[in-house]
Amino acid sequence: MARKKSTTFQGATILDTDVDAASYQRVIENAVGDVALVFDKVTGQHGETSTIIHDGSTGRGARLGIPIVNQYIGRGLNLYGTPPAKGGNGGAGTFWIWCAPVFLVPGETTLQIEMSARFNKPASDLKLQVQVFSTSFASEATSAMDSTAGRGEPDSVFACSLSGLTAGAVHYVAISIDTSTLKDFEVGFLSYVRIRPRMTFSGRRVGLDFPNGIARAPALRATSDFGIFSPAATEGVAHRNFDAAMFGTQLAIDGYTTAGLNRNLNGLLEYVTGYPAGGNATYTQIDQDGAGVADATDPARVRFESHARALFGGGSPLYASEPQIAFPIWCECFGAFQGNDGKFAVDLAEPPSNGMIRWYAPWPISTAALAIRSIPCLMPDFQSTSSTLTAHILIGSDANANVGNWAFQIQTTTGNSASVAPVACSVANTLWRVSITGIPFTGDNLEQVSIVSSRTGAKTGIGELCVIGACLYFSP
Amino acid sequence: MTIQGHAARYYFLPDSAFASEAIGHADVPSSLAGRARVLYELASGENPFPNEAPGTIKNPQGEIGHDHSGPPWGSAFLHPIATYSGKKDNSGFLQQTVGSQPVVNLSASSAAPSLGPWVIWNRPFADVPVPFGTTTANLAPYSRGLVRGIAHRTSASTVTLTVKLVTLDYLGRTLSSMSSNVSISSSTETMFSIDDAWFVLGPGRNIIRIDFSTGDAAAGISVDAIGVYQTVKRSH
Repeated sequence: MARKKSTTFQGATILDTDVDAASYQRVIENAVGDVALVFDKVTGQHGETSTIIHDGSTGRGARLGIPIVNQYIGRGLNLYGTPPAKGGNGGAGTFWIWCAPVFLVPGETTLQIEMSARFNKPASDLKLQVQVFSTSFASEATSAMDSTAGRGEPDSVFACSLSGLTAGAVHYVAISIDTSTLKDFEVGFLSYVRIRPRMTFSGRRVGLDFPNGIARAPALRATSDFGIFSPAATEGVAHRNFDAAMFGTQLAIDGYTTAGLNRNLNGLLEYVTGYPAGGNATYTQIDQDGAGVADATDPARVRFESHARALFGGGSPLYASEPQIAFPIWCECFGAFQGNDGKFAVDLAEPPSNGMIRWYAPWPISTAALAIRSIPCLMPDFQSTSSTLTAHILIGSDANANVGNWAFQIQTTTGNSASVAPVACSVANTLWRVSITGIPFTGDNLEQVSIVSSRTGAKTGIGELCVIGACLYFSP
Repeated sequence: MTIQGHAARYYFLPDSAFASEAIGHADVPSSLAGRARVLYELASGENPFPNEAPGTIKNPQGEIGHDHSGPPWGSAFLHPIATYSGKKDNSGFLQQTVGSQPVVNLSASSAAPSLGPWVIWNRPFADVPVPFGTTTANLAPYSRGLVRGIAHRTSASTVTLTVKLVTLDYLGRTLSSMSSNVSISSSTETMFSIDDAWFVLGPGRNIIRIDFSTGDAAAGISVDAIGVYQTVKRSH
């Protein structure tokens, strides 16, 4: 059978579909092919390569615009000590008051950065700016931050937008201030940081003015008048294929085709939109286990487009080639670091007493396995058999410190990743990165995610490393 | 003559239109072709006829196509929205800022600490109103921020943590306020979830505050990490 499928979307002209227009075979034929194209794009079936991956490129799905950072800090930035030595660990200098590896998903090239903070000196005196680096510590972008009056924010909001960045990559984003010229050590307070890709709309009431149900409130009359069906558990979207031979010259349009096409449309519309199709108030695609029992939480049984490679009713993914997508989960800075100079934000003492002692990147004292940071992470319904969950950790050290014997691991409620040693990302050997892939997780589950450090052998001294920040994201 | 304009209608057909020996009406191919275009735009994010207006309206992100922000723009994903991570005070093992870890240290005698006001950016979503005649609060994905956290007790026995979730307007007035009690029984870090209280969120900027308190006289509670989460896939 030569399956009818459009190479590109064909559609139908207004003249062919206007009132009192004749019913042409070409209209039905093109619609059959167009719907088959959509089915293949969303499921990855039949070798389709132009699948929906939400990178904003032509026909590959709209970008998702997921915010990357919403982190509360609430820490003072003042320098302590009598007096801090300039240029040393904890001394006056350029402080990265917020820095973390930030993952930009494919299709996004712009970062919108907002920081709520108060400074005891004008921001211009502190040379407040944002620096963006590649993972090899090459400078990619720099921008001053503009101060705006925040609505409802306790402090001033400093913002900037950086564009032209490489999509689908990790970037180190550092918000820095220079304390070198301060005559006293009162610097300010950092409340929170927000980072999102580009400017996305907010506050719009969308979806309410489109007629005939596509975005209507769900209180619609329950009816079975509109060609709705409930597919069996193993049917997936229950897409009916049509032989191209059915549309030969002068062949009639038949009810099998029109009814089947109607069902295909209703099924896919509900699958893609997550909204009841055909005027019914209830879903016909029902999340259920293999025995037909409703199961709204098992990500393996989800019956809506979720990039989950769901099992539907079988034992293996029904749409094994369903496209997977990149998705940010978590991104935070853990404390300040003097990244430009390769110095800690505090003196190398345990505990420190000089420098930015209210907000500095933490470091492990113990060489045994130790959780540096933990966070609850709710995981989306992505497949976990071949996990695409990735972590990127940014580490700082005193110049020429011995970092090589350290290793990092991500521990989740589901399991532990491999242990990975830091890799130098700056020639000065003061910045290091750890990239961990294939992190175990369970979809639709709240996981306690911890960054765990360990070291073989005893430390050679304080300052071997501190953990500046980290991000967690899905990257197929 | 060049034909301008392609069908983009969106109306459904009754079963009777496809019954045996039913007369073929022009509205059948019109509906099929029109819905096919709507489906293509929603699925692919592409207007197949760029010289014409699109057949669908823009999604909450301002683009064409489904963006998984909740129906009708696709099933939403579960994930964290805002976070405040921390670590149990590892005295002697981890060098971290004095007084900053964990997130909140709480005893019965201490003043009730608050986290915030905190302005977070919530993803734009279709803030569809609740159905007429119902009393159900908005269940749209991203309209509720559920709280999860990690905590442990530093006191000798189980204590109760009261968490109050407040959404504010830009003048600091309370828009919504819900409280929940969480039993903290373990002396080691343990995750907790609050499902009977949440932040009422809108698209874009939201101002939230979390108030912590306890009524236990001998309480010692350490909240080690806390965050706001999107927990609804579909609600329409």
